[in-house]
Amino acid sequence: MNKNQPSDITEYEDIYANIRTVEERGAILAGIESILDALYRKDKDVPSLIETNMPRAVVVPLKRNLLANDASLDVRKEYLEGLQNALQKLQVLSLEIAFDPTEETITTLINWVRKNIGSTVIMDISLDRTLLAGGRISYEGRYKEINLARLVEEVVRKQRNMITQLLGNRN
Amino acid sequence: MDLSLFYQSSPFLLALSIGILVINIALALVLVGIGWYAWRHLQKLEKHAHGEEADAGLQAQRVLADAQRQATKTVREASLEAQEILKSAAAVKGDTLRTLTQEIVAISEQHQRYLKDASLKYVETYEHMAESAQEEYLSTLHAASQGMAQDAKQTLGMFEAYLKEQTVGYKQAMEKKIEELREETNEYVNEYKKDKLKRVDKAIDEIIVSVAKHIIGHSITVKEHNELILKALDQAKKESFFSHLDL
Repeated sequence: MNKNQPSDITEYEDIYANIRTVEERGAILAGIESILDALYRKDKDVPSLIETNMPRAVVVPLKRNLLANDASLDVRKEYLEGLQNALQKLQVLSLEIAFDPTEETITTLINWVRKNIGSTVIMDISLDRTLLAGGRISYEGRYKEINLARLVEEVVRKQRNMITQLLGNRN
Repeated sequence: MDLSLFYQSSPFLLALSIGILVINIALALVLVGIGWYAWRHLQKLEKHAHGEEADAGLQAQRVLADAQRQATKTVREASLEAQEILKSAAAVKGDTLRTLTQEIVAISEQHQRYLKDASLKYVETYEHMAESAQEEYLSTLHAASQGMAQDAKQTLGMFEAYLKEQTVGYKQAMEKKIEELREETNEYVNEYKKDKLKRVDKAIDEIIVSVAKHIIGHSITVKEHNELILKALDQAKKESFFSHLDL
């Protein structure tokens, strides 16, 4: 596990453990803003807002943490602002892949990430079809490209003489 | 105070008043007499002045008449003297002209003779000088032509040598230039060939890669894609890609 992952956000682990990508984090941050706006207004129903504005994966833990019986409005506000800060601190692994990721792909990848890198890491997945397969990885200022297009190029470059010879024999 | 009372009281004062009155009258008469005398005297003076003025006019007329007569006389005498002077001047002029003409004629004849002698002498001298100059000129011309011929011969020799030298140098320079040009051309051709071959190689590579990508890209399933990404991540992990910040 990455020893550098933020340690002061573990309070919110049951929330961020359900966040896989930066898109999901963006949706949760937007939902928190709307709940903060409605928190002190009697005409707004916070539980309904959570259910309608938040991704399904975080609805249950958020309701459990935020709507405890003895929690005052100020405590709830403090919790939501803390959650905002915690989400901003999550580390991001950028992945460029050659196909539109399915739910299965995202789940497979985030499981690998949580197991091998850390529980506070989420993914920023983007599409680049020229990669053919594999991916282009960028994390904490480092960059690595392990994809099929590059492998083919390397093979062709290494085997060029042989290929040229074969082409010559065919002609 | 009433005066009649005053006179009645003092007869002396009355007599005194009458006396003063008589004296005043007498003084008035004396004044009138003096005035009349002065007027008469002035009349006389005026008459006398008019008389003197008339005398002066007559005197002036006489003086003018005398001066006119004197002037006429002087002019007449001057004219006579001038006529005499002119007559004598004419006589002197005639004599002078004759003498001057004779002198001029004599001088002219003398100069004519002198010029004739001088001309003959100059002609003789000129002919002599011309002959000498001609001889000298011919001699100089001959020497100059000899010198020029010699110079021309020498110059031609030098020019010939220079031309030979230049021709050799030019030939060498041309040969060198041609050699350089040949080398440059060969170099350019070789570079061109290399570049073209490189482009051909690159084009072949691109074609092969493109074909391979096209074929492979269409033949990979989602499962294989996932596996390839996980392989890439595993390889990155093996190369400590994710642990560079561990302390």
